[in-house]
Amino acid sequence: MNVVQRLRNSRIDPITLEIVGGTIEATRREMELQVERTARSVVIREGRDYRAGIFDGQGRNVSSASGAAHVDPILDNYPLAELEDGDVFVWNDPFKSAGGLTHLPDICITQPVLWRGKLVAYAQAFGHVSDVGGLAPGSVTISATDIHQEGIIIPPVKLVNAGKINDALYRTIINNSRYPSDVQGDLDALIMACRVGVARVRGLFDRYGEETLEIAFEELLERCARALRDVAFPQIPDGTYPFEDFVEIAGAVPAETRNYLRLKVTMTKQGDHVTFDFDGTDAQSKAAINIAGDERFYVKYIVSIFRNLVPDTIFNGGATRAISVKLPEGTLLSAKYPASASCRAYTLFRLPELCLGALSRALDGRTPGSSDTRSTWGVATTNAYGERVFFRDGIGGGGGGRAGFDGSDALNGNVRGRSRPVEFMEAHYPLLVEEDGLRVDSAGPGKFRGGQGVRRVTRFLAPGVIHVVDDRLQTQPWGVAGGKAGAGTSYVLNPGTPQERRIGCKVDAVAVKAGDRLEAQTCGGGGWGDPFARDPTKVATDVGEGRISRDAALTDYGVVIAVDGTVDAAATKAARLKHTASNALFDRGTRFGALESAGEIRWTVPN
Amino acid sequence: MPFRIGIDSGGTFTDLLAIDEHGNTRVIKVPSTPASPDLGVRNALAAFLKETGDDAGAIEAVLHGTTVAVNAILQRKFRPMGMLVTQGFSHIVEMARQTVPGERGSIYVWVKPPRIVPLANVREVPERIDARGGVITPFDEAAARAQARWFRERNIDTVAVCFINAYADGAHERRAREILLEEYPGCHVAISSETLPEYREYERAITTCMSALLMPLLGDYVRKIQGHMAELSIAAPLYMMKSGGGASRADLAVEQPVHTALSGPAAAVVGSAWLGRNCGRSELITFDMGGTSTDVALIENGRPAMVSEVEVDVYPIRTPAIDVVTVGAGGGSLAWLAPGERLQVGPRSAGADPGPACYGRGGTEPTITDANVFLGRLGTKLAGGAVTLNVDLARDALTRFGAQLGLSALELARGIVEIGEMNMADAIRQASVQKGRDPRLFTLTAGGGAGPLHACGLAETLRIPEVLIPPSPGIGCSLGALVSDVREDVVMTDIQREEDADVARLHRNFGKLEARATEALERQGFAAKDRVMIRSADLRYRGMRTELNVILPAGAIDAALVAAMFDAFHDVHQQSYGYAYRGKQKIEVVNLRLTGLGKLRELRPKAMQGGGVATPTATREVYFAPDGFRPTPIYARATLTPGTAFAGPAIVEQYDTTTVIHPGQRARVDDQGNLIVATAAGAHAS
Repeated sequence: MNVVQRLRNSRIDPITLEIVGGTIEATRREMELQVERTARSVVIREGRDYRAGIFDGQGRNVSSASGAAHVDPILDNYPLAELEDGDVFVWNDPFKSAGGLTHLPDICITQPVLWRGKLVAYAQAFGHVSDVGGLAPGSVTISATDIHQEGIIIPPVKLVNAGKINDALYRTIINNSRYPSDVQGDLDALIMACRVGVARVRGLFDRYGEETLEIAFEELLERCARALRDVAFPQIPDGTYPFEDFVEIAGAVPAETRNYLRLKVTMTKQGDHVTFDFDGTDAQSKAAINIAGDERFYVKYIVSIFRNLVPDTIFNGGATRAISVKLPEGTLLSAKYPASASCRAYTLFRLPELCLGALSRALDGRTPGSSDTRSTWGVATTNAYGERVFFRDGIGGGGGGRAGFDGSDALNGNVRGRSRPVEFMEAHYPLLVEEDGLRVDSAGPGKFRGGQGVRRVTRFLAPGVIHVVDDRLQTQPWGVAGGKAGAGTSYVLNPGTPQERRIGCKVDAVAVKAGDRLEAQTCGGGGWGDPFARDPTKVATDVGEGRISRDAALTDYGVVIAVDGTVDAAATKAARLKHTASNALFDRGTRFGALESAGEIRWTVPN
Repeated sequence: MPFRIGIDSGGTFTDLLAIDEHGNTRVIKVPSTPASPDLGVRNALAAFLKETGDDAGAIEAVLHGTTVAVNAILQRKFRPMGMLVTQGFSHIVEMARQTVPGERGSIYVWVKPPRIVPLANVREVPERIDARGGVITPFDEAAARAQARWFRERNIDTVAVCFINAYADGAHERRAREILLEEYPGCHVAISSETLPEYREYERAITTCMSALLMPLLGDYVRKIQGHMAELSIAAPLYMMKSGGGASRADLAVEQPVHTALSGPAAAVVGSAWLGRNCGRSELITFDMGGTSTDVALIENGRPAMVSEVEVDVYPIRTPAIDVVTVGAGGGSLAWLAPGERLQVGPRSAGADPGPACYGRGGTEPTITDANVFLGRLGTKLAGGAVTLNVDLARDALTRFGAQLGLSALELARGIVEIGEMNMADAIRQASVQKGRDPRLFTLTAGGGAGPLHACGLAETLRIPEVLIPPSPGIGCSLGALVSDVREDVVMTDIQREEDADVARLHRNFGKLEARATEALERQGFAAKDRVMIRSADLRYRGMRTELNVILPAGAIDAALVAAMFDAFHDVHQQSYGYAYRGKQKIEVVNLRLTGLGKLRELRPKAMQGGGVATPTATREVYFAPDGFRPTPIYARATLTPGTAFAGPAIVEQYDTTTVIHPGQRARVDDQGNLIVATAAGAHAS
């Protein structure tokens, strides 16, 4: 009798199930806290670019799955009989991760749970460490054309053998980083997090035994699928809904001659199942923006777009039962060895937004406008002690507007990610932040506008080398249902001076001198609904608070602001009369319009 | 015979506890007056005077914990306030830390809550200092003056001043305050370099804004209490409880009101520490359960564990506070179904109105209290008969809800207790295991109206050997206030590396901190002999985000002492996280801290007369998993005198709580009236 049949026959009682599910989630949180308190890399501790997860004996992710990798590489490489209690595995090789890891800086630690001699579960934690070698400090280099240029590649191997650490391997990994104590701190944090997870899971087995937990794990997965099938999907009409967008690569790498790489999805909703087919997505690149994910990996990202249709739900590995992903071979999303991958962030981050666009088409615009909320630049420089240091900034952007609410300003799109405080930057790095605030006129206009992006001006106090990994420098986040696109990103070195220089979307190394200034401006959120239908008093408030200019109030919203800051009702009425609302569901913004006119891009589905 | 008085105003009752030098106690309970909480305090004091023969002169001190501040924050009852910031940084509060709470996809659902300061009221002034305190741009006095007038013209009488890097040097902020007060006398001004001289501008700004907002609020409240005391001819000083578990004289507390925000839970922990100290127990986990939530804290070596940041509603507040873990599991916590038929218990709560179904005030959904009364764990007469619980209404609610899941009322009631206790156990784990502490080495103390109902069961689950139920678990907060010392915490960010630490600078900076604490204690009348100074530092391995606090050994700050401080960090890291890098990685100093204690006369509980024998007053059917209902003796707490001992299962009832003692557990009463329950798990372990 298989597990599913057994569950039907002896349905587990809902109380035990809740205790098991609650303990699994508490364990995940406990593991994450351990990582956060002890990890060193700024990207982990401030950007919170790390995940922890619990998997059952069959390798299925039973904890909320917002980013965990897979555990298959262990049994793919080690026979079951060779596993011992206290073994801990490490890997970062995307091509040997069963599609669960996407670039080398993500170091993944996994510890199998052996209970009464049997493999029953796994605890896993991985995080983005500050450097694993490769072409440049930070190990995120667009110009790598082959993964072997991107740093140390660790296949799935035992880092701890029956409780005894393999010191040779441990020291080799640390030695391959430009910032070895960061990586040592991170590795230990991840190992300890897994130890915490294993102890808690073992406690569950001691209490409930294997048979009950097998049923419980199966039911935890099934009830995630059930929530999607029974609550989320009935809100979506059956049909086929395409959407497309582009990732920028213009001028980044000589070997890559294309400028804009197409990501395309077709969402098919049929009954209680949804499929995302990425046919039409461009072939893999010579630049380091490829991903070699598998279906499970993509589902855990995409499922997030259904959160507003089914709140209070834990999305775990069970989502793959209700959602399928189809990946044509050799694309940006299904890259083949030895594709480089370190800057894949903007391929990956675009993905839920891409699928949100398809969902928006299915729901006739009843979703938020687009949110592009991750901007990254970094500097390798020398601190006051003469040590080489690396600072990576992560700046948020504006959230999309939605029916009833403006998008929120300045959000970091990483799960619970946070900004780097000005005072933290200045205390530890030779940097001086001259301005840090919301960006005027960046919000995508709408009846409910997008959130504002950020403008941050940083002066370098010591020479260094900066890099930028970003997107939307030539394009913009889309608005929906009459809402307009948000402003796109820009990076300018020494703005307003004869030395002014615009920095491209993905750049490995630009030298900066002491005294140089970098102005980073991030995306505003896409708007929702016709901006000419926005309450004029809200426009006046936005002008009064300096969020939008008087000019934009008139051109984007048809609102005339009087000298005293209030709405000039008559003039506004006149201005709004001239307006005709657009019929397009999506607004891509003027930058896309220019690219289309120049023949740089071509839409294959209508907006 | 001088009495010291502790008063706590809770949601329902205002409790007054008085103890004299012989340990004689008096308890007064009067209804709270939520619309104007000072009236409840006056009524309690008046009732006390009436009971003790109107001798106001016998009161030596009044220590008071209030929820006025925290309630204002939770209800967002904020007056329009202003903020003065460095030019170029007017969006510190708008941007916050850019974090979207929750899991992936929350960005599609979540909406940023309104900011504490409207953006239009944030004004800039040209000035800038660097991270070491050096001036980059001088402070523009004329611009500051113009902004002060701008606030005055708009009657914005509450202003927070938060300049970039002011933690390193507060001169510009202090000058800004002078100008604000010159231009706008009577304006409430909080400056960040005094409220919280620590780095990270958003957290410091929010804390400073909170302090500014609370100034008029707490000031008014304190003035009213002082007025009531004067009317009652009470000349004794009034002290306000703070989140760090000590008190400040009221006139000082209102200068830094943000530090009183979480005084309630903190006071309860201080009370538990005192109870433990007086019965020879210094390692405690406190478990306080009320109507909507459960608070848990760790006491080691007699000292409550501290944190430097708390979250109140959506606001991160940097303030020295007792580390209290709160989960939404209380007597009124509701059972509900999340999508996918997931049975949840709390944090949704039936609140005080309508309350649990068994209260008969219109509640129809089952709560933890309904489960407890259905299972016989809770009797139907509470508070000496003042409250009657209707078990039929509880059964109806359980039956109705259980039908959705195919569960009987009994199965659901068991489940509600089990899931509720899972959440409580999680809070205990967060306070202990997650900080590297093994709960099996601690005594669990139970407080609050509902704590003793669950403490003994939880202790078995967590293998805690012993549970302590104090004589009056319901008045923990006023006890805590009563036994508190005066406490002044001061802090300074001083980032230094282990390998080239500037010993002279550390010496100088600790000297500055000590001078500040000394001045505050002297203002409150503490002579040198009654002052205790505890120096500590927040340290971390270079590159870590979170610091760990290390207490400095006594003695002059010299190279040897600084070396000992760094060395002790490895041990603290080992204990907290299970590993350390002694000899392998370098450490850095982030913050220097100093706690100045003004010692009030130590109070001691009075030993009670013993010799009694435990005699049940009744027997009732009580459910114990896994065996089911069984006849269980009921004891009246008042009849349990020191030396009496009995075995579980048993129920002990008293005015303010009910204790459930499980089969296999053994209870005895110590000479101060504490009920000490030895668990079966503890018996097996030893």
